[in-house]
Amino acid sequence: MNNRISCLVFLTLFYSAVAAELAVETPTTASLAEASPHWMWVSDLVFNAAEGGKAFLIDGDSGQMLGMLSTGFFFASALHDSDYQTIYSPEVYLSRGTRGERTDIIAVYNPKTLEPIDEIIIPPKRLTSVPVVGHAAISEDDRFIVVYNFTPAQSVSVIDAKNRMFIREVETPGCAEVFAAGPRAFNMICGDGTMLTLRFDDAGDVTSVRSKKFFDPQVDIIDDKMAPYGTSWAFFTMSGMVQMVSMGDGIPVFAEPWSLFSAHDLAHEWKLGGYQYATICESTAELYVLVHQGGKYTHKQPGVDVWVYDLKTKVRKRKIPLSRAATSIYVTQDEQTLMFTADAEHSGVQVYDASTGKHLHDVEDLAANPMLFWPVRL
Amino acid sequence: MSWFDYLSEQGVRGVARHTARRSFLSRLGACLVGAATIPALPVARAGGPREPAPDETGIAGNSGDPQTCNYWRYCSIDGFLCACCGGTQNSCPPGTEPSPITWIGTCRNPADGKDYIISYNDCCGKSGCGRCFCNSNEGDSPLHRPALDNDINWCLGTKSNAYHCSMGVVIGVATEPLR
Repeated sequence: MNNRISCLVFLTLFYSAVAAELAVETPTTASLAEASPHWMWVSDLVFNAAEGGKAFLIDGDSGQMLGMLSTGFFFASALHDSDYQTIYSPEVYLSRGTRGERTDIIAVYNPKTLEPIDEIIIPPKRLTSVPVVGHAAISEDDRFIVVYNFTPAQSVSVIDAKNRMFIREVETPGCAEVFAAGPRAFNMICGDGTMLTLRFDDAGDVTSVRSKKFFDPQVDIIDDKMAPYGTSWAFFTMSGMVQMVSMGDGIPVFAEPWSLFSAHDLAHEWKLGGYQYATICESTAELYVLVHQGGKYTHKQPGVDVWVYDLKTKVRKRKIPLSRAATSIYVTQDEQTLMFTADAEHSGVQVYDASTGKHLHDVEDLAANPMLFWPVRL
Repeated sequence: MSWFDYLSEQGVRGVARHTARRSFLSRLGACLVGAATIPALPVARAGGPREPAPDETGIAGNSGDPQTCNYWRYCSIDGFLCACCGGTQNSCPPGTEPSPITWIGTCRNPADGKDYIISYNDCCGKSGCGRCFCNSNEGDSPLHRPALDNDINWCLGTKSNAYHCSMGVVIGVATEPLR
């Protein structure tokens, strides 16, 4: 009898324990929440194995990674339309990984699911380099995408984003990079100190205009690092002069250049440096730049400080010392501005409150070579 | 018909009689391909005639360590040193192909005090070597001056565009100082 009671107690306890176990699960795929202006994309060059480029999506508020795209050989960054419904990613693939036939595409992704939904084949000529912001651009009305080619012949590929088709190649000898601003106009910087403007009609036919010379490449050359600001772009010379170029009317208008650095700063060798060293918050009209102290040709050295300028008064408002030196910086466009920084030679992204400089998050082990930030603009 | 015209016509007709057109085109093609694989001298920094490229082995100062970033000819290099990847400062690792077009820099050889034009040919066809990454930037310029830009993947005109590593090849003496 005692044995029977013992058995009953045992079985009761056993089944109770089983009942307390977790329910059997079925694997699913996570979905993204509604996009936030505090989300940021980070491009990974993966220089050790550049055929395996990546883009990471992170949330600046939580410091969490949200998802990733696999983006092919020498990935620079992707574009998206004005309401963040479609991501267009210029990507390069070699059929056997590091050899074989080369295919260049604009991969089309759904930003809600991060799934590839289409692709547009373009000429296998896209620039492959350490990433620059000006490798490709999308027109203000989302209609045309222009991709900079370097074979080393210089040209651009023109893509009809609406109909998802390659339209034509336009030769641009002596001119590089491409920046969109204004209605269906794209601007390029030319080695002789001028700017080339390409304008497109509905059919994608192009007319081109060359500006006057706005910098002297032998004296103080405009760098290939720049920051968008509404329908303008801020360009920087190697000595730290700011050249604002308004592009809203379809032709570039050049403002009077001004210097980021005082005589005292220059005497102490403060310089711009990095791979994406400038960013502008549109709602606060503030320019953020990565600076370091160094001699000539230290223009890729990481910044140890961020200096913040009021674009209206052209006066430095504050300095933000960084928790880790950085070669790239980007700020969100809202008034509760977040600042993201990364160093191309080290994994990880740092997030700060841009107004106070308070360090908020380290997103560790993210990207082998974080090179460029590209924002979720809503 | 002048004697020159006569001789030219006879010569051309002779070639035409003894040579198939396809053969001529193939030889011409071979010559052009051969020309394309010779490292180009993209920009003569010197204003006047360039001095003949010196014999590499005769340059004083080769005693430095080509596996370190501060080796004199790497003053404008950006990438993995081929010398650490199975190659040398002027030869690609096995199984990779030198890029025929390059960016250039001007480096001073401390041993003889001369400035040399250095062609930074990339080696192509395999994934990134990943060893001895160096990023010196003397004379490096933005993308709109591509011949002086060390950020470009110069694996162009090669069988594969895959970047493996970078070399520093002496291609001449610079006769004008670096600007």
